[in-house]
Amino acid sequence: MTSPLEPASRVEAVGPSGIRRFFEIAEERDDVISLGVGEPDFSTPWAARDAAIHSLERGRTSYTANRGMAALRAAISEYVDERFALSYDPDDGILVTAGASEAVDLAFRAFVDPGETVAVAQPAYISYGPGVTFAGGAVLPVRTREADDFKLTAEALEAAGADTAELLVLCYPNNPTGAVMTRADLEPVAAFAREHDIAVLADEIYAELTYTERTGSEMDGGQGDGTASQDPEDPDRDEAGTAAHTSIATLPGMAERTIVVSGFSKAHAMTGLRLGYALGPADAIDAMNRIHQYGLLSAPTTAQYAALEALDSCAGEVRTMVAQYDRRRRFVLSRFREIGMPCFEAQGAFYVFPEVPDGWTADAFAEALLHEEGVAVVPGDVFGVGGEGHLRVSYATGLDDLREALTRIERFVAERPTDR
Amino acid sequence: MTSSENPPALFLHLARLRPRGEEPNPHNRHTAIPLSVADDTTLLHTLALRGSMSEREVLELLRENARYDTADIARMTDLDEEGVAAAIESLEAAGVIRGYQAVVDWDRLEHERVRAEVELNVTLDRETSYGDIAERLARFPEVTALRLVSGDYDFDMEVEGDSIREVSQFISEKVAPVPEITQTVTHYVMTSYKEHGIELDDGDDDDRLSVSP
Repeated sequence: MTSPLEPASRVEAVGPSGIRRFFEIAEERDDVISLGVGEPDFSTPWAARDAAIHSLERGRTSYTANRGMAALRAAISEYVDERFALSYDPDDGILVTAGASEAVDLAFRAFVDPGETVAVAQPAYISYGPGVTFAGGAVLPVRTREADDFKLTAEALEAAGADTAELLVLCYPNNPTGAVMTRADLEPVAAFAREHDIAVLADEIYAELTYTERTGSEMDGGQGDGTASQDPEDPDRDEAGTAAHTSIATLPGMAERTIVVSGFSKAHAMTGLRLGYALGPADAIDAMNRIHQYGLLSAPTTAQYAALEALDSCAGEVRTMVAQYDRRRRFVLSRFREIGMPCFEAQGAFYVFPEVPDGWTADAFAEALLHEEGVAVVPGDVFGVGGEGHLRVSYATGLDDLREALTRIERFVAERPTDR
Repeated sequence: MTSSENPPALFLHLARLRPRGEEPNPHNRHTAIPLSVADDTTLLHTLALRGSMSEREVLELLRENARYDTADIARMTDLDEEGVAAAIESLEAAGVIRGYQAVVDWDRLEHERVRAEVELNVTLDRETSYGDIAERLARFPEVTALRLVSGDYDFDMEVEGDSIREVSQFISEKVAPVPEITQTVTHYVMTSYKEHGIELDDGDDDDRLSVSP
């Protein structure tokens, strides 16, 4: 007899998350160093937490406007303009959501009709595929290649047959590869979207976390080309010494077809506060808000107060965290090079994406590493096509743990050069 | 200002008890603004005038943890190990880096350590400058920090000893008799919550899920 609560077929179609198994093994042991964590190890800047506490003390616990507090939308508008040259009206171009995840889900439900195709550049964050499926759409994976530094190219879109897609999902800076895309990299993708009239969902949750290239000699044993962007005194670097993120929505003809999704989880270390936002053309934001107002009413009020303060006064702390991530990134990349595991130079988010040694699958390597050395990483396959043979290694972990984990990985690779 | 930033009640109390309304020290118009080292940006901007980019980077890392070894600093920067060693050497030679010390939570040791913050007022004359007085005081090993400050008093002095008696004797026998010193106010440290940017609490456990997307 089937249960009256038999899940709907589109729910049945989505299996358990591929990281679940690793999570369960890792949780059982207490000696595990986890490089499998997709959230910052820093606490939310104190000023933001304090503002949240203060709002609770004053009893600010009612609903806000569906789209979010006006003051917060104004602050977001100013912030994205200043940081990323994104221009959105606080009144009709911004929707505050319960995490960027809600914004992603809303976009699928608002813009995808049953049976429509959604192209997803992969490897990528694991929620897009299931989100599309729940909305009744069909996922079309578009493989990015390590040879292209995991950037999406027009050729890859062509090869995947993405010209028929309604919507293209992009996540740059990328989880899990750490890849970034410059304006020049984005131009052919934008042209493809314009040519085939495809909407774009740009998940830019890691936009603040970008880093400049290390010097050529460091990476290539002296064969670096020493281009200008590698100069630490490069005037193009922003105050934190990082290369600024470019949003695809700032390219010509793209704002009208793009929803930009971002939030406070990563750069402001606010994952548990669940606060994100969507930016888009007024009609599109209105469509997303129609779902949001019935499903959520409004994003958590306490978190909105924290976010307002984060934008108001925490830019310095964000810069400090970015500088920390960059050092760890350099450290981890150096160590993988010393260990002899090839690893492309990730310049964004807080992940690197090394290759497993020949003779291993990513899954077998990750599982054996966890069992034998107590180091948790996530096999790349979990993130879709193009992830096989790679590991997602998060450096959102203190340097002492990173150092120890890399020592264990080095020992593991030396003792177990192949599977068997 | 948030409640957590207020000084502990006792400090407030002592400050209120401090005699006021006496002759304001005319020399206190000399308001040397103390350089805030807590503000990294300020420090780095200041250093930008003197140090190279690599020296600034190395300094920032050593201020974070002076025990990072040369190899790890090289991995975290664009420098090689020789470059890191050279930067450290140059920072030391220039007197930018004056030493490396452990940050100690004395409450966790059996061994008692008494510390006091001492406010000092002084009078100057044609022959005696702040520098002269400072030099004289700084030579005492009991004095662990000495700063000229703006505000109600002139010097902010930190003193350490093995007992309250020892510290008190030091103040009354060695500091107070210095002719230029007109007043001392001693505050014994009762509990320390943060030292050199490090909170002396039990730390936070990492309560994140061990694997997350």
